[in-house]
Amino acid sequence: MANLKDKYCIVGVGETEFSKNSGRTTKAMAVEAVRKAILDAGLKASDVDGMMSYQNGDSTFAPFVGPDLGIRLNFYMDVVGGGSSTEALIGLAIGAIEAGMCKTVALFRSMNGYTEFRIGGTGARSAAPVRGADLAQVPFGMRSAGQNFAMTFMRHMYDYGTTSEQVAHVKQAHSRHAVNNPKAFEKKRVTVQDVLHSRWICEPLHLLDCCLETDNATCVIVTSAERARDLKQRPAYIMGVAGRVSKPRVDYHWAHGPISRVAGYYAKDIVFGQAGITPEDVDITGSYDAFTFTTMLQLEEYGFCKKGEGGHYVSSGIIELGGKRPNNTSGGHLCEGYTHGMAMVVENVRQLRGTVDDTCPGAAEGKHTYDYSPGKCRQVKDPEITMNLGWAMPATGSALIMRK
Amino acid sequence: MKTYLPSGLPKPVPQPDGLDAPYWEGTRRGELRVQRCRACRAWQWGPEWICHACLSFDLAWEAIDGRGTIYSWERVWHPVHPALEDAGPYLVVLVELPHAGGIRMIGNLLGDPHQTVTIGAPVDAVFESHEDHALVQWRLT
Ligand SMILES: [Zn+2]
Repeated sequence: MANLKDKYCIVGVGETEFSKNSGRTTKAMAVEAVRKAILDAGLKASDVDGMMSYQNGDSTFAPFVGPDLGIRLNFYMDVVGGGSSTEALIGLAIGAIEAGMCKTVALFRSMNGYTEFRIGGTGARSAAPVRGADLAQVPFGMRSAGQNFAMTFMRHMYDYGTTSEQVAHVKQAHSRHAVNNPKAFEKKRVTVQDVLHSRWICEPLHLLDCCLETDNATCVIVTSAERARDLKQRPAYIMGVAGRVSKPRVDYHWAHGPISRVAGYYAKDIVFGQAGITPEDVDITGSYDAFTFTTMLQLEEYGFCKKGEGGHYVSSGIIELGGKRPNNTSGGHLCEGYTHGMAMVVENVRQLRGTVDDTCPGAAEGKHTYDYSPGKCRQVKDPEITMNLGWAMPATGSALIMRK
Repeated sequence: MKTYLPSGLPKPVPQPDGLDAPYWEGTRRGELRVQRCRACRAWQWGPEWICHACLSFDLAWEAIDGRGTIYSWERVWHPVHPALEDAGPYLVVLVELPHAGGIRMIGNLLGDPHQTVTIGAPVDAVFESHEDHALVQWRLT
């Protein structure tokens, strides 16, 4: 999209509460998140004429959500997918608008990720017969996301000397961010030692290396820069996007090549090429934290440090508020709550506006203290460029670069 | 019969189109078979209708030497399936097979689930009998 750089924006963002007991349908939550994003943008319902969502057979559909909000859709699409979807769908929304199919697109993800469909082979999913590529791993007790990815981290530790202690800094940093985020599900400072002393889930992953499954819905609204000018918020301009970039194999991802190589390796040239920038130009990252190590692996594949030095990068203070390039300033999936990636884009939009929802008295007007001690500010000072690194699995990822 | 993981896991259902039938027939007889391309001689796992390397559709099944090395591993403590509730910890290994072009397979590492596991350690295939199929497991050489 080199010729579309800066021509599209995210103009509205919204979300429901993050909880472990929503007591609501995914439709009810989606309606709330989209409505909040429309109000945030200063749009009328009738201004939104496109809607997209992603899900895994666990959620409502765009054409059922739109009409509840008084929206008649000119374009909708619901796709199967997880953590590599937000950025990819933002790119597809730009394509739909560019093709003249619609003018403004709301993207949502709504899930009862704790009360209805948890990660892995639990509940009704556990009884399904094992077929296809699953035959090669499920009979051996390897089926959940953690079990599916842990070997990638184990091999990285072997090849590069990365340690559990290094990646535990990701949880420590994100927990400090979450303490300054009133809507975060887990507002509690966690130390590296807390992570290392938490029980094993799937060695080398401890409990606190894993993200927090929650119930929630999230939404972002994409429209052209031209329309964005008349709206309520400072637009977040889209400089580059890469969607569902994959390794040579997606099924049997562990069977080919170095397994600690992840999709970001292939996505980086696309997204940086479009944006015309380098990692050095990025002020804030949103590297997907399904697990502590996924944040680390992606940061190194996108070139924020050399391959193999991700452990050093994430444990050096760089990724923490007040550091050179904070990551997931909301607390991310490890602490704010698991949203399949969309909340990390929402956070970066708010960072670029200068209006993150911390407890600074003038936060809504962009007046912040930049005091990152517990319970205070989480606004980065004058960020120019943010980057999101979406992760579905080692073999599939997406990326988004935005500027103010 | 004694199996590494308890019974109650969903039963493997070979592909209805018969693609992986030679693999399952082989394991029942204690033979480890994988696909090899007749055109370019590349080995591959898992089973596919096409050769990943040269895109030929002319694939054969060959019995291979069940000796490999541990490429990576994990020790599972938290069960995500009801049948595994009291099964943890258990070991899952990713085994690389140098005699078959370096293809890799997943299996369980037999023996003490608390044992120290070393990447690079040599392992041998072991055929674990189930009611109507066999699973390929691994033990340290
Ligand atoms: Zn071939």
